[in-house]
Amino acid sequence: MKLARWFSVSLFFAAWLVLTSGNTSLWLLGLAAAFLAGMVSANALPAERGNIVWSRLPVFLAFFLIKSLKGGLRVAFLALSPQVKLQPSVVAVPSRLKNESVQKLGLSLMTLMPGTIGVSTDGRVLQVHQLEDHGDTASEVAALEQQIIALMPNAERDA
Amino acid sequence: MMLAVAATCLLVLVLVALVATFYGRSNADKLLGALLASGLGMALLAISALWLGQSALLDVALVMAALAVTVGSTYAKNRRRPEVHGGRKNG
Repeated sequence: MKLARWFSVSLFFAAWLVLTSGNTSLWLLGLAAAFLAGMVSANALPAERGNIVWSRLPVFLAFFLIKSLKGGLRVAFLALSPQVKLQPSVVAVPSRLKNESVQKLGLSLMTLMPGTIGVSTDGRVLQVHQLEDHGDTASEVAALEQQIIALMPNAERDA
Repeated sequence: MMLAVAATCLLVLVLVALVATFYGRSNADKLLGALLASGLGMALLAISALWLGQSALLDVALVMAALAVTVGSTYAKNRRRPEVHGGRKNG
């Protein structure tokens, strides 16, 4: 059994433990269910070889956490500021990502970061909602896309 | 006793549905097999919860129910529709 399949079985088992509040009397049943779910998942969605560079994952997570923290502080500053400085708008940002699935991943990550919301994509251009017009949104989206491409090299659009 | 028999029957049906999932000819066949297995699995978990007196199994069944709906609707939404040639036929 491949490493990726064991990884998915581990994730399913972890989900089982969370859902059963770590009930130790059910772990054997959970292990069997996780194993079956992992087999079905691998059969229905076989992993593509070399799709994710796992060694880049810590860098990606650190980038995401730092950006989230910065965004959170910026939104907190806006919320606590005595003067209303909000300038909500939607900006169009050309995407370097190859297909809509990966672009939607990028939009979802942007939505998780405070201050920006990924709105939509037409396959080429991303629509991103921002709370204030500080002019950095396009470069922030580009930086996020760069991190996604570093994590998933196949995700970059062919030139 | 009745619960044990019902749980055993459901377990057999889940395994049959999983066979359909593994050997389905198309992705739609596989997905239908997986959804059938999850529906039967929910029933199995609910009955097992009563049989074993473990209410935590009901939580797992509820989450499975929510995920099954999401998976089915997402697949249906993203599936490419066949192109219609020649326009609509009237009458």
